[in-house]
Amino acid sequence: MASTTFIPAHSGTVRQQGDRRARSRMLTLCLAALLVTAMLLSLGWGAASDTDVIGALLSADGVSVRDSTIVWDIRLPRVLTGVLVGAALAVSGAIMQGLFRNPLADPGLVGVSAGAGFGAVVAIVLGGSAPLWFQAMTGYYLVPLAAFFGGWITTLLLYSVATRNGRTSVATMLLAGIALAALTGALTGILVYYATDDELRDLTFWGLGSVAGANWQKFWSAAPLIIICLFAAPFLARSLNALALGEAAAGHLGIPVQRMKRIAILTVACSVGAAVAVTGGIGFVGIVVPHLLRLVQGPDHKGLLINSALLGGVMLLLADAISRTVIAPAEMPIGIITAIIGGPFFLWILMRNRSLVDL
Amino acid sequence: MMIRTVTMIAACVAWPTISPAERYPTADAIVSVGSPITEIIYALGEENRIIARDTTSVFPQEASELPDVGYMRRLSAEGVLSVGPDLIIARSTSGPEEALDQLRAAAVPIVFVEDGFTPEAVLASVDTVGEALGVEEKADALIAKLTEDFAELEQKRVGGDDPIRVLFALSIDGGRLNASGRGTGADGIIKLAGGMNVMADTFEGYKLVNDEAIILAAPDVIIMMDGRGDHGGRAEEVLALPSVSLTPAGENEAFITIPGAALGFGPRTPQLAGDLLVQLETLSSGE
Amino acid sequence: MALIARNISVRFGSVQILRNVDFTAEAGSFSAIIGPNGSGKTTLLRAIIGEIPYEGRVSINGQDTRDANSVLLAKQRAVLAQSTQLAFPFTVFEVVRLGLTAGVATGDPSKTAELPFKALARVGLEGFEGRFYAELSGGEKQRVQLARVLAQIWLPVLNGQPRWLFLDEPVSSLDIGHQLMVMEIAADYAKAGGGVVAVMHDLNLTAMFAQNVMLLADGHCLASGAPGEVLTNTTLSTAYGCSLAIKTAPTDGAPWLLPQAAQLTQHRTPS
Repeated sequence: MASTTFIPAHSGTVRQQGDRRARSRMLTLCLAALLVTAMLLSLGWGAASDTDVIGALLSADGVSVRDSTIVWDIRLPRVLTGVLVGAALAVSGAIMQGLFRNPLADPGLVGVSAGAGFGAVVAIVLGGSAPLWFQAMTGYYLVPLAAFFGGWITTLLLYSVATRNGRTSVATMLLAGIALAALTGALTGILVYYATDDELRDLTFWGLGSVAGANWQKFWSAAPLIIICLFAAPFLARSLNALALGEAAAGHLGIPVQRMKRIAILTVACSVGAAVAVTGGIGFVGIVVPHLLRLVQGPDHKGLLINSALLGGVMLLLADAISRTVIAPAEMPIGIITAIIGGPFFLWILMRNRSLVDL
Repeated sequence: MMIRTVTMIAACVAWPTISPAERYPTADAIVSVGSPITEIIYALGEENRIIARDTTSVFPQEASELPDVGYMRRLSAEGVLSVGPDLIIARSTSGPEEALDQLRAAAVPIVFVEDGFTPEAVLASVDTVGEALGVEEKADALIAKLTEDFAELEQKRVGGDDPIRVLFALSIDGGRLNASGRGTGADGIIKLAGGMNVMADTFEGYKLVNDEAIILAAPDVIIMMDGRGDHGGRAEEVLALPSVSLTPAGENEAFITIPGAALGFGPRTPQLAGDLLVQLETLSSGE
Repeated sequence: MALIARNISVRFGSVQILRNVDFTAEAGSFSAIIGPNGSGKTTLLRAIIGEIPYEGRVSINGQDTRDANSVLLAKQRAVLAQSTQLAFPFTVFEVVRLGLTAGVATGDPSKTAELPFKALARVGLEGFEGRFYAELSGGEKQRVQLARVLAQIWLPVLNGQPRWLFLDEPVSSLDIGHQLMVMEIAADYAKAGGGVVAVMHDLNLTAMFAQNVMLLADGHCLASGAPGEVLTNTTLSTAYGCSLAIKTAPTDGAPWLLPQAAQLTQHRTPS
């Protein structure tokens, strides 16, 4: 007869117990504190190092217009945008990795990055030929809007290709995504041919990503969507955990798998779409952040999603701080910095996990 | 908050897009965006008033030692503000708009100078910049000198009805030439030097042209920018292309390089165009 | 209370795998589905648990399961697959805790927290909580999965309703000692009032533990009933295409099957 004794839930070390949730909760507190610190430091950091930040924040007398503009119109929207974009990219990365059951999955697999990029190309190259009333109406939001809709269209396309009889096959989505990337690449090539020199430069810079263009209008247009997605994401945690056993087993555990996949894809498309629309293409955050966290707190999505959001925000602020100051008074596009850090890190993950990476 | 509101209103009132009569004679912390503009300021002798410049402004040598606020279409608002400017003079194609808006919000005046690849455009730029700096007399003097130089150039140009056929290539890309059509600095300088841009009727801007088009165009000479890399080696590479070898340029090994500055239309243009004119004449007389 | 499956037909493309199969399992008993490879036994199980599309009716505890709410179903039944992949480096404890995904109807949170530990102890893996699942042997992994399944439906009877355990070739990767352990756990579950349905390869284990056996061949039912009725020489040799000697087990009188390999008798001549 098997023993009926049990180990009380709160004794023993985490290692013995196997329950890493307490560690995960601690990490959440630490990351939240780190994020707040990073935000405050970012406000005080920038090319114009002599800015009277505190005075500007308190709207004290004697604060110059320049300092006030720097703090309120340049740094503050930039910091807030950076946090939201970093959080969106990191959480979406974690969700994608859970959905595809692979630690190397990336938000781009859902098609949103390819579509957003293509939307941006269309807007940059053909924007000048649009009817004047249209140009006047959209102003310099033409590119972000086009990127956002582009991301949506490709996600919907991939989703419908991969879904039959209500069942969405993530493997099909992956393969169709490759085909789609080839197609958008070709169409982009055609547009690039017709582009002027200036448009080509703009395209290149868009692709490298930057938080520099973040102003209040852009922030307010992207923020609600991203915030909703960030709040919705943790509800996917339970489902993503169960999904690690495979879709069949997850179904038997009570997860409505197809509905959950739809919600996951929707969340990723919205948050990444909004993020990419505002900042252009920023890579590696979606892979590096969740992976780092898994090393510390384990793959349990209950803590992973929230912590990814927090650490993603911190990372983006860090990268942005570097981009703002390394070649001041000029700026280095943030995508370059995330790639410089993320690329070697990604290789390191691959080498460390050779056995786990079996497609 | 009150200060901000008042300044916002003031900034809106003084909205400087393509605005008339923008004079800032006392401005002495100027950010110059665009290499022609920087050159004009130096040519006017007002360079001590410049505090920073953009990445494209590398002439003269002293300019490249000033702080660099970034590529002119990708300015960083905070970066520009960090040098403490009291005036920005920029090419009209500078950007991005968001950064310009932020600079306006910080109450920094911006004067835009229209771009162009003709002598008229150069003279107009000098006029705008001179007015912005409040040195109209010096500007007028420079305009007069440049007008003279352009007229001289035109004299030398009046030669025959059979101008030398020129193909300008920005780069060679996988065995294909990235050639200049109309509406570029290269096109402008070729015209000023009395040459005929073979691709001007075919397209605008810079495009990768196919081999048959090159052969049909039958250029007498290929021009590229000098710059990084081995000139001798590049000449060989280009002349060895199958399409080029079937043209008069290829047969006569006619390949010249010009400085990159020739593509940006500024105060040095008459001189640079003159140099090119001499090079072209030497070639055609040598045939 | 029973599991009743009627007129189950399953087709994959143009191939008809199952043809109008009827299957009934009673709560409180261990039902086994046996048959040769390709007979459709795993397909039948997958249809019953709703993993694949099927024609026909399936009801558990009187309620039709087609289009039933997945959470409610999860509270009624659990499935142990033949083998399970795991995508991320979870600990053993975390894997077993996944069994509690649909929520546990004990009402007492402290009791819920104990369940993973109890389940692991039940399968003989006490102390394994902190180990990484990926580092375990195949047999240990299968037992962890069983612990997860048990944690999901720990009480065999809840509010008067029996709960159901579905097993798909549960002992394939286990050594003989652990094979018996798992079968005993399943049998105990049935004795305590739960329903157990298992797809089995091993005919002797079936004979030892099942009260109700259905033999499938070519997508339809060849025989069903008590082990003694189904596991007969003629029936089995027709289904499996080989000859079997059927003895009676000395210990409990259950049928005891010995495969008769034609060539083997030659080598057995004592020297």
